Amino acid sequence: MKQVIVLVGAGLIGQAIARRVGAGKHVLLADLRQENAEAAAKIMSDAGFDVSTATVDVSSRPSVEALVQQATSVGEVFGLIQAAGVSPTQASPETILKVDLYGTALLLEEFGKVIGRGGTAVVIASQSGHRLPALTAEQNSALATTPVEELLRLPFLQPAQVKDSLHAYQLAKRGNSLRVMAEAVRWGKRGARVNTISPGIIITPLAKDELTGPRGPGYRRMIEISAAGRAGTPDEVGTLAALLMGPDGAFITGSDFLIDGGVTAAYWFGDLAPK
Amino acid sequence: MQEQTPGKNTEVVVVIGAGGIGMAIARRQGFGKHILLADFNETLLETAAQELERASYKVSSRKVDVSSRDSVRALAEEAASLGSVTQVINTAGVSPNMAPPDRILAVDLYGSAVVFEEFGRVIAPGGAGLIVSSMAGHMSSPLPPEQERDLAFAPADDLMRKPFLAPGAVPNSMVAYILSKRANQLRVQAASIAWGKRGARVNSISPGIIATPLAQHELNSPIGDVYRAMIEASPAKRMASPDEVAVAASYLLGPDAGFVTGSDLLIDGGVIAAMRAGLLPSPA
Repeated sequence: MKQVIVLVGAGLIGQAIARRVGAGKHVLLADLRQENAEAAAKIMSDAGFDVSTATVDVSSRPSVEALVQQATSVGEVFGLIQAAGVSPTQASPETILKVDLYGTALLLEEFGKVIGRGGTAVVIASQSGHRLPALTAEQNSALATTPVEELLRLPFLQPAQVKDSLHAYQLAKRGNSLRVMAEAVRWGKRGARVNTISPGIIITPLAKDELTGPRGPGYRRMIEISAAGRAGTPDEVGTLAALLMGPDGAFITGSDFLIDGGVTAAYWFGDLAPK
Repeated sequence: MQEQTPGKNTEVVVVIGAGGIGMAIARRQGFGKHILLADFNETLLETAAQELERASYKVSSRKVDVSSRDSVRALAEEAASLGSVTQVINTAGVSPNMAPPDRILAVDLYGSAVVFEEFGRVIAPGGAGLIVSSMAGHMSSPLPPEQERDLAFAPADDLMRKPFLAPGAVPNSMVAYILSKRANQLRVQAASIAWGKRGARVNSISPGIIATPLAQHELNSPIGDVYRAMIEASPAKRMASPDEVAVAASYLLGPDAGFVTGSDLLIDGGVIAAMRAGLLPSPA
C-alpha cells in the first residue's frame, strides 16, 4: 500500500517540507485554490515526485472530511503537513481565527482518526505565537482541549476581546502550539506523533512583498537586529520538519520549535524589545 | 521498563557484531525499536547488551556464528519472531591480524553472503540492510569479470567451491581480507535485486581507520607504523570515531536514502585517494 503525505497549503514552506520528506511516497497537495495546488504539483511532478491534488477549505468540516477521504483512498496516511493559513495583512480577525485556529484543530482531529502507525504531522505556526504574553492556565487549557466545534465560541476569542488581525493571528498561532500538545496525546495512542514549527521571517514571494511594502522597514529592522542577521529559507524549515517527521524525531511529540534566527529572543530580551 | 508483547508493531533492528562500530550503529538506530544484538563472542555480547539496556534500549541478544548457515537462519527466525525486521546491520568480521585466510573467507566473505540470503527471507517491506565492508575492499586490483560476477551472484554455498577461493588459492590473510571486503561491495548489488523484490534496500559501507579497541590494538602491533603512515598521508590526517560511521550508516538505513540500493559508501578520510595518488603503497 502506498504511503501518503498530505500537504495542506501548497506555498513554498509546505513545498520545501514535502520535497524533503516525500520521496518514494505519494504526496497529496491540497490548497484552497486549485491553481496553487496544480502549480505545486507541476513543480514536484517535474522533479520526479508522485503527486496528486485536491482543493480544501480548512475552515469547512465537510471540505476537510472530503480531503481525508481522498487521502485514504490513495493509501495509508503517513504524514500531514499543515501549512495553510492566512496572515494578518490578508484577513480580518474573524477569518484568521476561523482558518488558522479552527482549521488547524479540525485537520488534526480528522487526520488523527486515520493517521497510520509511525505517522507524523507538523503544523506550521509562527513566531507570532511566541510574542503573545502568557495566557491564563484556563485559556491555555481551553485552546488545547475545547471540542473543535466549540472553539470559536470561547469568550476570549470574541470580537470585543480581540484587538485586531495581528492579535487574532498571535492567538491562533499560540492556539496551534497548544492544540498540537493535546493532540499529541491522542495521536500517541495510534503510535503517531505531532509537532509544531514556529518560523520567523522566511523568504517566500509573500515575504518579499512584505519586505518591500509599507511594513518593510519594520521587517528589515527585525532581520538586521536578530542574531542570525538574515531571513530564513523554506529549505531550512524543510530540514527541521524532516527531523521532526523522520526516525530521528521518534522521541519528539507535542513540541513546538521556534526557527526565527533569534528574532523572538531579541523581541523579549534584546534590541527589539518594545520600549 | 514495561515489556512490550512482540508483534507486527514492534520494529526489530538486528545488529550482528557487537564491536565499536556495531554498538555505535545500534545506539544511533535502535531507540524506540527492539535491538537484537548478535556476536560470536558471548562475553562481549553480554557486556554490550547490558550497556544498551542500561541506556534504556530494548534489547535481546543471541550468539551467532555467521560462517554457519544454521546459526544465521536461527538468528533470522528469532528476529522475525520479535516483530517486523526493518533493519539488519552486519558488522561481523575478522581482520587479517586475527585469523588465517580460510577463516577470513568463511566469516567475511561466505558469512556476509549467508546473512544477505537468510535475512532476505525476513526483511520487512521498506526495510534496509547494511554490511560493514572496509576501505580494504577498495585496495583490490581489478578482478577478472567472471570472478566479480561469482563474488556478486553465486549462491553462497556454490561460491566457496570456486577454484579462486579454494583452500590454498588465496596466499595470505591480507589478500583474503581484501578479496572478502571487495566481495561485500559486489554482493550488495546482487542482494539489492533479491531484497528489492520485497521492497527493501541493501548497501555497504567501507570505513577506513576507525578508533575502536581493535584499531588501538593494531596501532600498538607491528603493523602500527603502516596505520600511522596511512593516517599521515590521508587528507583527513586522523582516525574517525565509530559515531561518524554510525551517522553515515543512519543515512543509508533511513528514509533519506530511499533511492540508494546496491551501493557502497567509502568513509576513510581519503586514505584510498592518497593510495591512488601514489602517496602510499598499495598492499595488493
